[in-house]
Parts: sequence; C-alpha cells; structure tokens
Amino acid sequence: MVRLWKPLSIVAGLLLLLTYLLIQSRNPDLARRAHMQEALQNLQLHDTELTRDVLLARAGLLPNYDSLPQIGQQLSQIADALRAESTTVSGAAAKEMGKHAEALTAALQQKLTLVEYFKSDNALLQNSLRYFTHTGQNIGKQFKAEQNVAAEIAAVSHVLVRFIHTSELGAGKEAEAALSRLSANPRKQPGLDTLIAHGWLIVEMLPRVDTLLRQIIAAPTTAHADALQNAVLQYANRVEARAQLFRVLLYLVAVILLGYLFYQFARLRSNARDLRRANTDLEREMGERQQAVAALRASEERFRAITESANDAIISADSSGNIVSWNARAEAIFGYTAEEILGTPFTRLMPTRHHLAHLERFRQWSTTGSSRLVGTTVEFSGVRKDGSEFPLEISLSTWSTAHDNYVTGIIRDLTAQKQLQETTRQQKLQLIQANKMTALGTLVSSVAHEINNPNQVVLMNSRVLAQAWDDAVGNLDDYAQEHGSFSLGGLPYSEMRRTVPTLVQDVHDGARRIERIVDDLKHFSRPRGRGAHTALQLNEAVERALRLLAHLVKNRTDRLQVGLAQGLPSLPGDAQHVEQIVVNLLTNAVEALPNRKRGVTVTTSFDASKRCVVLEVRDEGVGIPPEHLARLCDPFFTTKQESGGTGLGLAITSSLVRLHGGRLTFDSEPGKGTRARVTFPCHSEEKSSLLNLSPAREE
Amino acid sequence: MTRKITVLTLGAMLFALSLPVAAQQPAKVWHIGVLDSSSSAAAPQEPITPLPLSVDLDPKRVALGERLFNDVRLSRDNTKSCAACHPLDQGGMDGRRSATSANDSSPARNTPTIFNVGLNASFNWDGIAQTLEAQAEIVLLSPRLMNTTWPELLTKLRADADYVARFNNAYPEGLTRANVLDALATFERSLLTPNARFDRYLRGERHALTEAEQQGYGLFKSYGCVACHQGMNIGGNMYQKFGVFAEARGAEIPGAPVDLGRYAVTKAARDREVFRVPSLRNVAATGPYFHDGRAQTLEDAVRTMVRVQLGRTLSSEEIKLIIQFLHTLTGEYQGRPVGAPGKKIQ
Repeated sequence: MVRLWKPLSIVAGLLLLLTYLLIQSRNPDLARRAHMQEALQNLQLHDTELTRDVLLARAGLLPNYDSLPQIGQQLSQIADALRAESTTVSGAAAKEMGKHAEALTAALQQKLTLVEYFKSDNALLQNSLRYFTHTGQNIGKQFKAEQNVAAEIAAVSHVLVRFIHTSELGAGKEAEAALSRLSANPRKQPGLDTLIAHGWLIVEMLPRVDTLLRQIIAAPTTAHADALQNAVLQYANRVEARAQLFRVLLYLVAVILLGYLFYQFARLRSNARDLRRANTDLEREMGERQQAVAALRASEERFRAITESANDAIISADSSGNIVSWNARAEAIFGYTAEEILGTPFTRLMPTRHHLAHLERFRQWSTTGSSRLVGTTVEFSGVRKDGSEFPLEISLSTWSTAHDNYVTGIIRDLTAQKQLQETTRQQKLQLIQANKMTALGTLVSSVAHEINNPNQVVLMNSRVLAQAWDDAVGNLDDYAQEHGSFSLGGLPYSEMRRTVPTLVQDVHDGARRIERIVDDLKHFSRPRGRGAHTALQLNEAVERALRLLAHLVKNRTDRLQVGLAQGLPSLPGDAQHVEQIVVNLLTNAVEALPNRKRGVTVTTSFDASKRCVVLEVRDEGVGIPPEHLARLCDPFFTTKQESGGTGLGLAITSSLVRLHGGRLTFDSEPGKGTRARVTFPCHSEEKSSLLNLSPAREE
Repeated sequence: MTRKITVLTLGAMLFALSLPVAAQQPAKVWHIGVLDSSSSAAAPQEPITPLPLSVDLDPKRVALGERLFNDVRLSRDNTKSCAACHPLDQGGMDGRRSATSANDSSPARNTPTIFNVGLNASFNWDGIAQTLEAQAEIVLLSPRLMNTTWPELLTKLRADADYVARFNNAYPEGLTRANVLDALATFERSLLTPNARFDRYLRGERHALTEAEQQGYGLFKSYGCVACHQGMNIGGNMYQKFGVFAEARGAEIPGAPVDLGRYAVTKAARDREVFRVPSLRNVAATGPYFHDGRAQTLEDAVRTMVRVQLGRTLSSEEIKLIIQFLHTLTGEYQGRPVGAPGKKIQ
C-alpha cells in the first residue's frame, strides 16, 4: 500500500503541476489585447475619417456635418472603452496603459472640441465664401458709375481671391487694408456693406479655420494611440513571455511525467513478469497442495473410518490433558458422546483414586516428552459415565504437531475378557472339584467299606461288652466284698467299676461316630439312588423341612420368618434331596445364631429373567470370614469340629444342588449374618446338561 | 491494461500541450476596419438627406418609454409628465415663448420640439447633454423641472407591478435607473416624422414640391442657410454664434437677461452666445422660434436669421419663397402631419 502511494502521489503532483502550468501558460490577456488592438485600429480609422471629413468640409466638399458628430461619438465610445479596458489590467502595465488611454481621451476630446469650433467657423466661412464667389463679385457691376469704388471692389476681390486660395498672411494683410479702404468709402450701399462684412469675415475666419484645421490635423491622437498600442503590445509581450516560460516549463514537466510514467511502466512490466512467474509457481504449488490435501483427506477419511470402526477406543489428549479425539468405540465403552467429552480432562475416565498418580505421570510426559508407559500395553481400570469401574487395557503412543504434543491411547475393554477368564477359571475349578470328588468318592466308598466292617465288629462287640460288664459287675462286687478291693486294668476296682461302662459307652459312641461318618461319606460320594425325577414343588419341600426342624429351630431362635412365593413353577428333581438341601441350610443357619434374639428368614422366589426358582436362607448369625467363603463346600472343611461337625454337610448340600443343575452361593458379613442362595433352573435341558457335569455319577 | 493507460496518459499530455497553442490562435485574427466612404462622395450631393421611413427599435422598450413619457409620476409632485411640455399632438413642444430650461444656470428658454430629437448630435440649446439619456436624467433631476430623485422615482415605479413586469419583460436587469433612461431615450428615438413633402422630393419625387417651394429651397441653399441647417435633421449637428453680422441680443426682448448660451457649459470665451443650431424639421409647426422664443412667426425668424446670421437683406418675395420651402419640412407622426401648436390632431 505504501509502495503504491509514492508513485501515485508523484504522478498526482506532476499532474497538478501540469495543470497549474497549463493555467499559467494560457494568456488571459490575449482576448483583451486583441480587443484593445481592434479598438485602437478602429480609433485610428475613425480618427482618420474625422480628419478626412474635416478636410472635405474645409474644401466645401462635405454636403453636411452629420458624419462628424457620428464619428466623434464613435471615437468617444472607443476611447471610453479603451480607458475602461486599461483599468482592468493590473500592475505597472496598467498604470502605463491607463496614462496613455487618459492622454488619448484628452487629446480626442480636444480634437472634437476643435472640430466643433471648426464646424461653426467653417460654416460662416463657407457662407461668406459662397456669397463672395457668387454674389460679391457681381456687386462691382452696380458701381460702374463710380470707377473708384469699382476699382476698390475689384482690388478687394482680387486680394481676397488670392487670400482664399493661398491663405498667405501677407495676402490677408492686403485684404484687410483693401477692405479698410473700401469701408472708408463714405458712400453707403447696402450691397457694399454686405460685401465688406463678408470680406471682413473671410479675412477673420480664414486664418482661424486654417489654424483650427492645422490643430485638428496635428492633434496628437495618433501619437497617443500609438503609445497606447505600444503599451498594450509591451504588456501583451510581457504576459506572453511569461506564458511562454510556463509553456516551456509545462513541456519540461510533461517530459518528466512521461519519463516517470515510462519508468513506472517498465517497473510494472518487470513486476508483472515476476508476478506471472510467481503466479505460475503458486499455481503449481497450489495444485500440489490440492493433491496433498486430497491425499490428506483420503488418509484422514481412512483414518477416521479405521478409528470409527476400530474395536478399541482411541482417545487423544493434548499436552494440557484435554481430550481432542474420541471415536465411536470410546463412546460405546465409556458412555460419553464426543460432544460431552471433547475438551474435557481425560482424568474423567479413570477412578478418582488414580488421579494424582496419573497427573504426575502426565506432567512428566508433557514436560520431558517421554514416559515409560509409552509404547507398552498396561492393564488399568476405567470409569464409565454411569460411574461403574471396569478393567481395561491401554497402549499409549505420543505424537506431536507444530503446535502441541499429543498422547493417544488405544483402550480395550477387558470386562468381557475378565468375565470369560473368571468363567473359565470357575469351570476349571469345578472340573478339578469334580475330579477330586470322583477320586474322593471312589476312595471313600472303598475306605468306608473297609472301615465299616471292622467298625460293625466294634459296635457289636461293644454292645456285647456292655452286657457282659453288666453281667459281670454283680460278680465282681461280690468278689470285691469277699476279697476286698482288687486292681482291675491297673486301676482299683471301685474306680474301674464306675469307669468301665463309660469306656464301653465311649467305644460304642466312637464306633457310632465312625459309622455316621462313613455313612455321610457314602452319601457324599455316591448318590443315594437316582431318586424319582418327578416334578416337585419347592415350597412343599421347604415346609416339610421346617416341620422336621421345628423343634431345633424353636430351641435356637424366636424369630423365624418364612416368605414363600406363590405360583412357583415346579422343578424337576428328587423331593427328598431338595428337602435335605433345605434342612442342611436351615440347620447351618440356626446353628450360626449366637442367641435367640437373632432371626432366620427363609424365602422362595421366582427369577423370571433367568427362569429359575430361588431359595434363600438368611440368618443373623456370626457370619463367615471372607477367607472361608471359598472353602465352605469343601469336604471336611468345618468350623464346628468340637461340636461334632463332620465338614461334609455343605459339601453334600452343594453336590445335591449341582445334581439339580442349580447353584449355591454364599454372601456373608462377619457379625451380621450370612445369606445362602440356591437357584434351581426350570429348564429341563439345562438340567440335563448340568447333570452331565455331575461328578457323582457312578457306573 | 497497462498499455491502455499509457496511451491514454500520452493522449492527455499531447492534448494538454496543444492547448496553449490553440489558445494563441485568436491573437492572429486581425480586425480590419473599413473606411466608410459614403460621406466622401466627390459628386455633388444635397446637403439635406431625407428621414428614414422607419426605425428599428425594440417595440417593448418603445412602449415602455411611451408609458413613462406620459407618466406624471416622473415628477416629484405627480403633476407633470414629459408630455406636459412635449405634447406629441402639438408639435412635440409646448408652443410657449419660453419655458424653464433644463440648464439651471441659464435663463428661461423656448421648448424645442421632441420630434426627431434622436437625430441631434447634442441636446438642449447649449448642448449640455451629449446623449438623450443624459438629457432625460437632467430633466428628471432638475429642481426646476421634474424635481425628482432616483430613489424616489424608482420607489414609485417599483410600487407599480405593471412597470415591474414590463421592465422585467423588456430588460434582463428589470427596473433600474439605466433602464428607465434607456426606455425614455428609446421612445424619443422613435419619434421621427418622415414623409415630409421635401423628403419625398429628395427621394426623387420631383413634383412633391411646387415650383415656388423648389425656388425657396434654392434660395435656402444659395443664401447660406444651409451652411448650418444641413444634414438629415436640417440642423442639430453643430453650434453657431447667434449674431454673426449684427448684434442679435437685446433688440427683441428688452430687459431680458443676457443668455450666454454654450458659454454656460464650456466657459470658453468663444462660446459666448453660441447656441446649438436647431433642426428645421417641422419648423412651421413648432413656433415660436429661437432660444428665447422671440420670433412668433416664421417670417420674423427668417428675417432675423438673414440679418444677423447671413448679413444680408432679402426681398419679401424671397423670404416668402423660403417660408414656403420651410413649410414643406413638416413630416408625419403616426401617419398624421405634425400639428401646429393649439391645433389638435385627431
């Protein structure tokens, strides 16, 4: 812009200068000069006319004087115009011209006055001359009688004629003398008087008229007109010289302007050439750039398509930790839409407890540009929009543009994977358990058989021994009374007499216990018959169990709540097994109660979503420590060793539940209570499939 | 684009350069005046020329001047119009011996006729005015005549919407002092009285004059009357001393103050008792005669002229012939002969 102003102002300045010079180079007085010169020409023409007509009048050749005042008027007008014209000019030239114009006017007025006088005098002279030439000479004839007078008249006539024709001063004197002589003549004749009067008039007027004539001719009008003309010319020449100077300057400035324009034109051409070249380069560059842009756009589309269709969340954040990119999968995983999340800190996506550590790491990255996390894949936990936490796997990479550094994380939701892993683990555990149980069952059944036989001997023998003791006691008493005390088995008999029944009873009891354990082992390891797979009602099984345990329950608690859902679907299975499940669970629950204030709740319900029937037994007992929860159903795991628990109750329950295709789970909070939950599926196919997994199947 | 601009700029510059040259051109045009040779004819000519039959004047201005001429508001007391002293139906003058003169410094003088006044070279008996406009202004402002002033007169005229409209119609500048004078002068220039019998004679109508009248004209010429009374207006174009061969003053009007004539204007010694030579057109209808109206009849006037101006004595017969000739100088105004004083033209 600044570069444009300079040549523009130069050109404008030169043009202004040109205009100024153009105005100055015009000769403003050309018209005036022409006008004045024309007027002067006319003045001199009319002046000449005036002089001519005066001369004609003097010669008697002008028929009338009408032309004289006309010419006089014209001359006066011209003189006035010239005077007025010269006053409009400024400067010293005006004074000069004005002076000459004034002089000219004065001379002209003077001449016109002389002309007026001339007219008057000439009229008289002409009249007298006419009289003299036409009449006067004839007068002499009237005086023929008087020779003297006639001679005088002739002399006067002669002298007058000479005077009229020569206008000589001497002739005038002679005529005066002759007229005096004639006047002196005492004889009065009217004709003579007239002659004398006219003669005197001629003598008087002729020199006057001629003097006037000479004065008129000599009037300095022409000289003044010439002087004025010179002044006008001088003035005009001065003005013209100045105009000429400006014209030369005009030409010079025009040449300069032209040169400057050529210079600018040359510059313009060279600039235009450069510009064209630059333009070509630019166009080529633009074409390349357009291609690049197209390629970039395609690449971006591709990237976007990949990003959007990626199965992983791809999230980018800038160096200040704000999210700048958010793909569809990210939305699906985290629940935030792009509008919600873009521009907000990425810490929203992680659990609050990790914020500080993360920010620390992020700061480290953003300042040093490196992080040990970059390029590795780590497992981590994220937070969804609904606040739920979930496991994720994240791999980080960084990239930077000219403006900023960015970090991109590719995040995979591990929830499903974890669940799968968990399921696999569970299945594996179950398999192990099943194998364990199979092995255990085989072992137990053989061991039980091996144990049961000697145990029956012990049991039977102990009973025989007891009877034998009872029978022997009287004899022994008698012996003791007879023989006094004696030692029996290392102990005095009196003591032994009290102890033996107990010992026998203990043996019996021990044997009974072994028998029960073996019996339980047999129950655990071997199904107690396939039972009748009939349709059973869970509620009925529960009610039967409650009746069986009514006494136990009443002893342990005052608060038994039973909530049985109506209209439950019937379950396929063995009613006695189910009943045993309920009894076992209820027994456990009741036994967990520390006092009678604590209650037990038994409920049944139908879970429509999973199509299963649910049995829940809740107690307000002592609860189970968390470390025990996983082992509850292991055989021989018991916390009631001292109270006679075999550690097989829940194992059997669990196996029974499995037999029915159900699941047994426990929730517990130590000190508050435990909840046992059994779900029985209603679907027969599920049942059969689960039954296949049953570890207790024999044959 | 650039090339076009360059061409345009060059064109403009060439044009600019050519301007001063063009401006110089008129200076070379030289006005060549032509000598008027009409008055220098060598052939004998009649010293008197006939009046033009018509005059080319702006009719609007003439009409406006006529209205002003007849308007009494031109006098201060709204009593006199120009026509009061120059009634056009009575020879264009009042017919009185003398009236108040426009020249305040001179005694009362006879009112000259207004007819053909435009042909005179100067005005008033002493030539105090060189133009009709100047003459009109002198009359308007003279305390002895119209006695008005310009502010007063223009106020009066401007109050008349008709005048304002007419002036606006006739003049670009409207009602101004100069235009009032111009209207009056223009009207006066229109007051020509052509078609006098003598003019018809001059135009070649030989029988327009009787034999006696032609003889009278001959005497008029040969006795020298024509030395002063010449030209189209038969006088009016020069000054002459009154009383060349004999004292003219005192004899006719005893006790009257001496009128020094043009001397009052020029104060030049030789202008004592010099008066403007009056026009003889309509002379028969415009008596009494001379600056002081001393001659009631033409005969008196001719006799006085012959005696004091020509230094002759003429017979009664000759004087009669000359008077007969003078009667042929009466022309027509608006188609009717110029009337004698007291005689209304109807």
